[in-house]
Amino acid sequence: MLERIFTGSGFWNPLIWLIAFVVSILIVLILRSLGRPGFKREGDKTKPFLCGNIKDIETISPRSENLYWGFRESLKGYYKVMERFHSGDIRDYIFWFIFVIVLLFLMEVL
Amino acid sequence: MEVTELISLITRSILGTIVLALVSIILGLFYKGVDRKIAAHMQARVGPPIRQPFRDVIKLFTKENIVPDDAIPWLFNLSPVIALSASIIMMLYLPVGDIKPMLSTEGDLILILYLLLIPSLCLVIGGFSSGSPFATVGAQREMVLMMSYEFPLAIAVISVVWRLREAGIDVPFSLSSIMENPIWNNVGILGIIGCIILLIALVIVTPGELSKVPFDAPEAETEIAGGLLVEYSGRNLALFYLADAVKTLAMATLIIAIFFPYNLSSLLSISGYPAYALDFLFYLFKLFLVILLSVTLIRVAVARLKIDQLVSTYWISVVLLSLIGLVLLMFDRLACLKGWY
Repeated sequence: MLERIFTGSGFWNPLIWLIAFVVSILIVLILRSLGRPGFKREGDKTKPFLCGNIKDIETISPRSENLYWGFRESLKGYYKVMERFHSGDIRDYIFWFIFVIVLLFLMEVL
Repeated sequence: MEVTELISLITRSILGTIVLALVSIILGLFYKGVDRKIAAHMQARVGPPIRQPFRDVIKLFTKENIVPDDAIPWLFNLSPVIALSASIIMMLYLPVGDIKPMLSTEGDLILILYLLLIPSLCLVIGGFSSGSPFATVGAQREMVLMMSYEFPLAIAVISVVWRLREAGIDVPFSLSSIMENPIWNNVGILGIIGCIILLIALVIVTPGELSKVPFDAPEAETEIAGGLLVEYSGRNLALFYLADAVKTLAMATLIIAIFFPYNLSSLLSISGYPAYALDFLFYLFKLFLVILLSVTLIRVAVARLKIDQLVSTYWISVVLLSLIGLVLLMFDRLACLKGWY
């Protein structure tokens, strides 16, 4: 851990990084301690900020399935093609596996 | 590693962190002020004074630090601390003017790319731990944004390093090596065109990395009320504000280190302390230009993109741009091997 780690092309020293990280956290904590600590618990200030006519927070909470919406929407064309390959048939998956291996082998040979 | 070398390194990293923390926070806030002032003038407004970001931070420190009922308090409070710490550490591995990176021998460009991720990850964790629907949407968007800009960023950086390695540069991933062997001096005409294209790609990646308009969908004040920062207030918000300022500085310094490592002192044959001072002033000027081009001009000129437009911009347009840059660098290498120039 005391030595630099060489990755072939790059290098880094985890110990030195860790020391710098601890020192910077201490600096930030000192800086943080200059600020006003805590708050007075009153009114709705600890409730999540929402607007509109909201009756139940559960119904408006975004679900994890929405996470990749942006990706799926912008790369629709790509997903359309990829979904066609996902037939659920194990023989298709083995075919693609062998196809890629052969392709890589040919690339290596050529 | 010998004990004396280790002690010297540890001392350097402790002192370096303290000095660089102060310098980068002050410079980061100063450039935030400059950015706001110039943006205001471009929109025919007077704008706030340059010292306004300093006042904002002081005011935030005097405000209540509210932790929402639905939040996970320790994660909610820890995220801004780690975000600012990671931003400060980045500066230790980056050159400032003619001064080599404080820890140049202890970490390379790949480490910097990883460190660049940490403040964004902290924003995501802080957003999810807020327990707010707006913050959750913002955190989801930030994750998508990260996945979008990382690929073109990696292509742009690795292409330059690969070309330097092909030019016979030792340890091309080290920023000291990159500073000593500017990419422009090691390529032909095709390589120069390729590098300009990669620079443009990096300039487009920068506002995404910093969540600035047009790539600020994770915060989007007018749409999701500040997104992942919606529940933050007081000193926690101040720390995120400072982390953003320091990360802007780090990102601009990275672009300078890779593409504009030239200094005035070598051109004017000046040495000693005047050289350090001159190069530091020149570094401040380069910082100003890079922030102006990659943050201020873009955020004033372009409106916010929707999250799907943002992904397609990075994954299709900017990746394509970076790949063209990479291919041109490969052809440049081929041309050198064939002796065409």
